[in-house]
Amino acid sequence: MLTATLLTGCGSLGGPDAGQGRNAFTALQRATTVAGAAVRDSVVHVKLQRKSAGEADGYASAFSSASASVPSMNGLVLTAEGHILLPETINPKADLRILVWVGDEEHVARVLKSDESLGMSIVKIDGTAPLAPAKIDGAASLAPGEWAVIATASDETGDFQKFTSLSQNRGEIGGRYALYQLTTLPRDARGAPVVNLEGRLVGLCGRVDVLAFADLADDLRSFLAEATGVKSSDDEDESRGWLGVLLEPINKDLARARNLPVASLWVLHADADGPSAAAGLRPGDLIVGLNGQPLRFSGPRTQEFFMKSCRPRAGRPFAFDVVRQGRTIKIEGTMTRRPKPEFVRAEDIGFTVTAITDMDVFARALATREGVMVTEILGGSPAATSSRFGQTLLIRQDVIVELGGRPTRTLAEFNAAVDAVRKAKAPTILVRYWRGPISGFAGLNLRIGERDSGDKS
Amino acid sequence: MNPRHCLTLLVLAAGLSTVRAAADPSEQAIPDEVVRRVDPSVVAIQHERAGGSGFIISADGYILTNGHVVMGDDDEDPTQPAKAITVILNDERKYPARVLGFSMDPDVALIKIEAERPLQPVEFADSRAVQIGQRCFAVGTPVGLKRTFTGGLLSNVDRTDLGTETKVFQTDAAINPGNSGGPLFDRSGRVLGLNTYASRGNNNIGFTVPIHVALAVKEHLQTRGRFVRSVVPFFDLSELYDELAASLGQTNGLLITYVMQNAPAEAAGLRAGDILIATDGRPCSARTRAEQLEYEWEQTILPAGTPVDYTVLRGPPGQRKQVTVRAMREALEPLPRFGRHSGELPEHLYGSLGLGVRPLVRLHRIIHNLPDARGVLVTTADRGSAAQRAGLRELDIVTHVAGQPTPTVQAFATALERELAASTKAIEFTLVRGRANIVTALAPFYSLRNREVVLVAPSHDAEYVDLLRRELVADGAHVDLASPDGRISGNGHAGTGKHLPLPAIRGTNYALVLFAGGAGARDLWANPDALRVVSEAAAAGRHLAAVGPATAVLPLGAPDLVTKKMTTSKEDSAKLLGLKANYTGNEVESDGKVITTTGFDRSTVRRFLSAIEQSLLNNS
Repeated sequence: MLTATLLTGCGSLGGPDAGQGRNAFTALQRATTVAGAAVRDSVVHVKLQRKSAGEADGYASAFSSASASVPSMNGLVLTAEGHILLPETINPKADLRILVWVGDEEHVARVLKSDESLGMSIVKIDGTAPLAPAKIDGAASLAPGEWAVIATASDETGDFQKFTSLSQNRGEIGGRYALYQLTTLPRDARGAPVVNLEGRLVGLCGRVDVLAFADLADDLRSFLAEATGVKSSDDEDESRGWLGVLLEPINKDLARARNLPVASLWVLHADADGPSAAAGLRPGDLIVGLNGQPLRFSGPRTQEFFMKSCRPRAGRPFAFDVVRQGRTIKIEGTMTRRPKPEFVRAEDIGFTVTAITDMDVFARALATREGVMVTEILGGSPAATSSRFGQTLLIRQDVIVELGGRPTRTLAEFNAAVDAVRKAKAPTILVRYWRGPISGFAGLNLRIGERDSGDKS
Repeated sequence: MNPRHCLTLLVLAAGLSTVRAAADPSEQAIPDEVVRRVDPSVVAIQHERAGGSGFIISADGYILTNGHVVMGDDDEDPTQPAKAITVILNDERKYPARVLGFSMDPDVALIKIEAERPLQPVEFADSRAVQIGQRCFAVGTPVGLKRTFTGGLLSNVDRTDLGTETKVFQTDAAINPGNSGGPLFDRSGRVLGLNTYASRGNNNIGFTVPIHVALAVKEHLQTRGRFVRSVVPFFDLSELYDELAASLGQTNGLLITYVMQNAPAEAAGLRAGDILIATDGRPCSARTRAEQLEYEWEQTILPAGTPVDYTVLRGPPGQRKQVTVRAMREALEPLPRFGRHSGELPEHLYGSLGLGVRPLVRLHRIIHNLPDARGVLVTTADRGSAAQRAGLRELDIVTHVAGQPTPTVQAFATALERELAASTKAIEFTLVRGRANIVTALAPFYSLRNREVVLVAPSHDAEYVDLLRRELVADGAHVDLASPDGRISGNGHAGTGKHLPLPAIRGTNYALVLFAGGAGARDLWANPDALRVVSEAAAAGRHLAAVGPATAVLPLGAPDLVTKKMTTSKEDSAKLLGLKANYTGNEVESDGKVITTTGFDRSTVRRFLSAIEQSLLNNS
């Protein structure tokens, strides 16, 4: 059953122009019905439930369907196989059950992928008849004052409701996606598609506005491609991309004075181990374009635009347009996976250390990379004691360069030094370190604190 | 007075005197003779901000107190003491005091009063030979209560964990705000130390600078005006606490833990890991932090410019060789702000840009982990200012302005003011921030763009002239400097205006005629050119402004100005009143196109500058 509800845009139907007004209303109603029908089969109703609360004791949590504040939303069908777009970032490991109604059929969906820069997730339902995917290609834009139809799904009837609304304003988010403001958004419209009176997709409802599909389509296609190729949530972490670069927006006044683009980013540092440095990016370069498109805006918004636009994914190519010494050059590379930090915990000595990256040396202004960095001091341990009130012998971010007379330039050397200390069973050891720009020595009493076999390291 | 109350008071007084007469001398914690002897030596100190205590150390009026008692509140120049210090003796006689010098760590100041008769100085105890548990008493002005005696023990004589340069005594004698600078006496009434602060929120934990430390600082303050530390730049030491000694296999000496790269200590041959066992042939060793601080203190008070021989053990345990290196002691550069030090480096501040810089010293690099770049250190980048809009941050190092290297504050000021004088829209700054090199641009808002200003001051007393000129230039004004002989001593920089003799000045040529200078500005009162310039400017409806003693030149040059509200320094108020001027005594006065100030301190002069700017913008 189709129900048309006109929320706004209706003038008075009485008076001398009543006939004309009635005709206009009827025409609009027809157009609305036709337009809504174009997406009716592509909208599904979605509810999120906490698994544990519902199953354990039946308690109606804030996320259970019995609660008054049910975070119900609309999902947009992307493929006939059951891939559905949700307007929510959902951690695949979250303790949530995702219920999807296709008509009056209830399904439980699983999260395939979430994208923080889009603020969306793709979920999948199985064992259903082929669905009707929305036509995300050929999306239209919405002019201010133009009528739009919002198609929301109804969980009670399995049918959809539609509303018409006027487009008021047009804005942007992060300089990347256009936004439309409508005169009214119905409750529970999040995730609902918005079409123009020709039935062409124009946007997707957010909490208070509508995200333009025309800008979203490319990202959605690659998002879908990535989602359908992803096997597990572990793969998700593995696939997060890394550029290995530290950027700062150019000062506007400087840009104008030097006739440089205001929408540009200085390269402060390119990690020696990262893909940007490998591609040839250097400190002092000015990035003015990304993947063939010029950067937009100025100041922190340019940085936001850059982050939203590059959507880092391991294996994804990148291309920077860079101004270097007055010439514009192109630097191309492929994003990699950021190396995972490795930690070594030496409980009997009293600290945890990690390897030092090139970025650590830059960002923390470390005196050397030839050491391991303390990440944690264990309370009551030899490293935590001191003759000085309120101080420990070693502190976080100290760089240990020598332990018991052995160099500790790498984690492997540190492990070897710790092993040697354990074998020697000396009551004290000498630790040499750097703390910021100053070197220091600490004598640790290994009889202090809880003794441990050290097997946990 | 009500007769009944009068009677009650008399009875009470009689009762008290009875009790006093009956007091058993053995019951007195401090012998009567001691109280009588020390009481006249302890003084109360007051100034425009706060106050404290002090004690007389010589019959001719030298008084010791804390540095933090007499320090002013001039953020731009933390070496400035409070402006109007009064010493109150125990018999309530009051004297203005002069600050001869102060140090924040050790927290010691030396001030001087000129009394008409000899004063009663204190006696000193040997503060190196004190014992925990020894009886002591404090005298001072806690919370403004003069001549307060409180008693207790020396709770600790080696306190080192408070971040001070020297060890301090801890006492349970009550030390409260206002006790600062007062003496801690032994039971015989000899001074053990200088009470300095108490642990807040705790009971009976007060701290005292040992008198032998205070007297060493006093010698420097009396002869040089500041405490000058003697160092071999730069190396750091650690005491050989048990575990360090055991792990090194060495029981005596001090471990050199750090030697600054490319510094004299490294050039002399010291290395991190060396164990220092003798200085100038005398064995040195520290097993505790207190012993280490004691060693460092004895070294730091030796004369700079003298050689020092360090004997060190070098090499791994069992294979150590003895090496002696010779270095030169140097006078330590002015201290930056850190720990208990408020700093000794003046700030070069452009208030209208929200930008302040200080010289970059080697200690900055250690304290703030700064890179080895040549430049000036940003110490102010105000919110919402041009400096902040340019992205400048505190601890940035400015290495270039408009392409010019800025290794010194003078070079920075010259380069910046050249651009300001040209009203450059975007002034390029090259910075080093951590390990990043950054280029940005400062875009000043020239509120007084193209306003012609002449700043008149005597060449021999150019107080505040540089500050006034610098701020007006930063606001976009074109500033000429003038003095009766044309040799004004302000730091005029290239492109920021002319230095002119006063006879060449025409008051009608300027939007603002500003008179400044310290006491020497009184010479302008009778200077015909100064009076002529005032007369011309007033007749032409120009703005007139003056600082402190210079104010009187306004009504002297243009008698009609007596109707305008104006102010001057306290010492010169009689002159204005004698001219029947409308003297208000406010710190800053603005009446139409006449703006004046007492010139009491720098913050007053900055408010005066704001008033000038407002007046010029509102009354153009």
